[in-house]
Amino acid sequence: MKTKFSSLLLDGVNIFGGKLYSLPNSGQTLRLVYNKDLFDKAGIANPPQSLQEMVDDAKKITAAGKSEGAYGFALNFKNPKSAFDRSMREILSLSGYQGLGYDLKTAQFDFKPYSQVVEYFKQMWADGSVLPGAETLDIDPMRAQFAAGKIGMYLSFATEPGVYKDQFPTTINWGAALAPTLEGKQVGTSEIVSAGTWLGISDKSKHKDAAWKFMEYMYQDDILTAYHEQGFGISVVPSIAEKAKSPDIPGMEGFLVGEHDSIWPVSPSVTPEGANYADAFFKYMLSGGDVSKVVTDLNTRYNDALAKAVEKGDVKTQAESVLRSVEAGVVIARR
Amino acid sequence: MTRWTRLRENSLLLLPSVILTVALGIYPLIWVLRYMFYDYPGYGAETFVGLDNFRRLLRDAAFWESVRNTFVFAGGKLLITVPLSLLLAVILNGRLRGRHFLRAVFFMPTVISSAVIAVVFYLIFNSYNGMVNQLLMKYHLIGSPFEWLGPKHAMLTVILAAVWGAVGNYMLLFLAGLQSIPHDLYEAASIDGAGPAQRFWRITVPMLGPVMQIIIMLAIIAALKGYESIMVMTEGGPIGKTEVMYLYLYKLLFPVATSGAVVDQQFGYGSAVGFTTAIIVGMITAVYYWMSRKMNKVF
Amino acid sequence: MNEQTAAMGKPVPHKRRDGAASGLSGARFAAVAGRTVLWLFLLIVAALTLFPILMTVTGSLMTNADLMSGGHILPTDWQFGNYAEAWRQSNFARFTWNSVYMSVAATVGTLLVAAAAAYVVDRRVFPGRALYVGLQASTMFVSVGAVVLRPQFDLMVKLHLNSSLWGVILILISAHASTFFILLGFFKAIPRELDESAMLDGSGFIRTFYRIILPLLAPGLGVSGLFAFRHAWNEYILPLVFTLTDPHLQTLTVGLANLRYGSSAAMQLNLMMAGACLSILPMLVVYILANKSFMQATAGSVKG
Repeated sequence: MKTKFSSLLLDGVNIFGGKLYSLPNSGQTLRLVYNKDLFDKAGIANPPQSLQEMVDDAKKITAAGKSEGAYGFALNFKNPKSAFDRSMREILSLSGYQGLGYDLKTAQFDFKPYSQVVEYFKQMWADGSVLPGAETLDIDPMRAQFAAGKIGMYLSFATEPGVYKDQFPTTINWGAALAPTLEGKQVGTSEIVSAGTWLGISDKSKHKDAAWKFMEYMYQDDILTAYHEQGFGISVVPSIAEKAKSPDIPGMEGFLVGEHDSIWPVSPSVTPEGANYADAFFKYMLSGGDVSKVVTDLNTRYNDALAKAVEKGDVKTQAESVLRSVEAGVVIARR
Repeated sequence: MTRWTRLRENSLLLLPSVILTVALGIYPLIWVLRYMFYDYPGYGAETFVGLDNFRRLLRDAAFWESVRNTFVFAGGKLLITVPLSLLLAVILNGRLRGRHFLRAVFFMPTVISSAVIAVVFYLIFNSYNGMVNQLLMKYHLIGSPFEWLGPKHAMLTVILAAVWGAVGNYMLLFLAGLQSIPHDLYEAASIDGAGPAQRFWRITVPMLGPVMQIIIMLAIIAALKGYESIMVMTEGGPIGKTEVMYLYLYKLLFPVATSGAVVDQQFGYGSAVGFTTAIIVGMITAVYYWMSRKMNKVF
Repeated sequence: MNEQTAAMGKPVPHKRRDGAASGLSGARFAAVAGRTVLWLFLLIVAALTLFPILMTVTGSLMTNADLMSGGHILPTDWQFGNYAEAWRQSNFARFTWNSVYMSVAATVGTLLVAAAAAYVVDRRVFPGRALYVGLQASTMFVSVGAVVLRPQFDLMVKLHLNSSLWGVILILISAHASTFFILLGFFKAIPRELDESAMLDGSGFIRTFYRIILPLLAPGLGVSGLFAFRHAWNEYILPLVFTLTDPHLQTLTVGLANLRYGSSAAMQLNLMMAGACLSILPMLVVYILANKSFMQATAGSVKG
């Protein structure tokens, strides 16, 4: 059992106080989702590899598709945090930075790399390449627009293929590709999220033996493989991911775990006073301002909140957990 | 009837009202007055923090932004609603054919829930599949989708929705006031040669004074307190452009549709914010009442 | 109003003199022009007023393709089935029942509580009467916002009423101040001698109320009942917060608003429009039948 999961176990997620509480099963990869038809129409052969390419592609798609109401880019900006947490994460992690503004080496928040990616989003907005009304789009309305062929590309989790199979059946040709990066090269790995736990046993459980038996049953290879193949979730367990067949949902191939995906250590989750990073950056995207001031302000407020949380003991060993996980060489099997 | 029977009867009749008012009206106010000095996340520990909540309020830029938005919203709404409803009332007060029908038409929006109005306005005004844009583009009135709910125009659109739902109500209130002005005054004036405009400014407006003062005060309070339709239409608008005071308060404590549970729910701070907004509304009402005291003097 | 009649071209009573022919036709022209402008203005405002409602109604009768492709004013293919579909699909039956239950209960409760209080305040003298009236008046003006929902909710939890709509209903009834004042006005119009003499004659309190006061109060009850019903029916924030963990208790306003970001609104806008119409319809029907009463009551609240 232990060897099957050893490379995946994270302190602060599966392990608390040195004891193991849960095991992982599946996770969500994050990708650039794009409309192949619109790309063809604009004469673009391949999905963008760098952020600059993404900005240029979005402009071309808008020029080619505007008369029919199709635009290059969109996200569910009604909820900026949800929009950024499904897009910035893979862009940043693939570019070598932690996806939520945390600096793993200094154990502090630093939003400078984050702001660099935001600049490209801001450029797309200024170019008019973003679907009008994106700031009022919630996730489902956005997916409906994508399904209707009005959006060239967006970024999201591996939940999308399921959505376009059942909820918003679509006739467009679409695919998923690795997110573009700051410099066009893949310096890091695209983060796999929600991968930490599937089943676990509570400390307070009165039936720990029975619970463990259940877990042993559920974690058998057959069950985990079926889980993956039938599209319930992408397996992150190395031995399963290597052998299982691709799930039978159109478009899921693009989301499968590959050599550029991995789990990242968990960053501390703190609540700053005032606007969170997503609201602050979205405001900057729409109404401009001094980006360095925005970054400094965010860093100050987040690190203040971090210090307070550490003091209170909420985030006590977060920095240590992170370092421990990095040392353990958390990695996912190659495909 | 004995004194005791009378007392028992009185109490019985008055009791439900008193109990309900005190328990659900007064007690919550006292609760707010207490908790505004505490740090209370809604569950678990409550710690006394004195004036800390108010210190936080002073440096809360988002709150003061919402106060500014409230003034813009209320100002815009009143500037259109009051003259328009007064004008409609004046027109429909005379012997115009079809005036009953027209009154019914103008009053209709007021029977619809402001939340439902907001849903409808959201559906027809949104930029990506709204019917208004589609119509405007079909008839070539605009070239590309107009962003009714975008950062530049969202405030305008929420004001329009508010005006739409309110004009009928104030029109009727003005009508009632107009109908209480004695006709002989007008007849006497026209015999003396006064024209329509003169009759309006010299008779209607002064006689309407006291009633108008109250109606406008009600309108001001309603405009400052209104946030339900904004919440449903824009949830505070793109990047907080339509976030008014009471909506800011609501979002501190309760979730809105797109954002999930509230991060860092703080009932203590919320109470401080609620108290402050009540004071602001009270102050504005008092200022208005003092400034409009001339309206009370008719003769 | 006489300014009106003048503008309508009713002949002003003064003698017609020969030399004044041109002056009079000038005045008549101005009158007609003024009248046209007036009517144009009224029609434009009426059109703007009806426009959103009409859009919702026509939208509800279109196929989704019509609605999405845009620019259609009238449906090409009238889909009355949309209403049945919306009713079935999005739980509108449940929402409607909840709204009806809550509104009726709140209206009845409000009328009972307010009428009882208004009777006592008008007919009887008791210590603290001024205080009570002042209390009611003040509740209408003070507003601290959504934060009061928390202590109200806590009380309902203590009373075990938070898992039914009765928590909401009681809170709605507690806001009876405006109904109280309206009924107070009506009570003042019923002469005291009527019930006092009846009770002197030996009639019990309940009988007096039933046979003498109630018939005279009926119009007042009707009118304030309409208002209370409308207020309860259209309430959004209160049922929203109270049904966060109990979706089966949601009312029409809450249920409809919750759908606005869902797949239904995104993919089946026509059903969403049908749903909106379903929400508006009951109140609209009541209004069409009773619009005079509504308008009377709104007007009356100013005079009082």
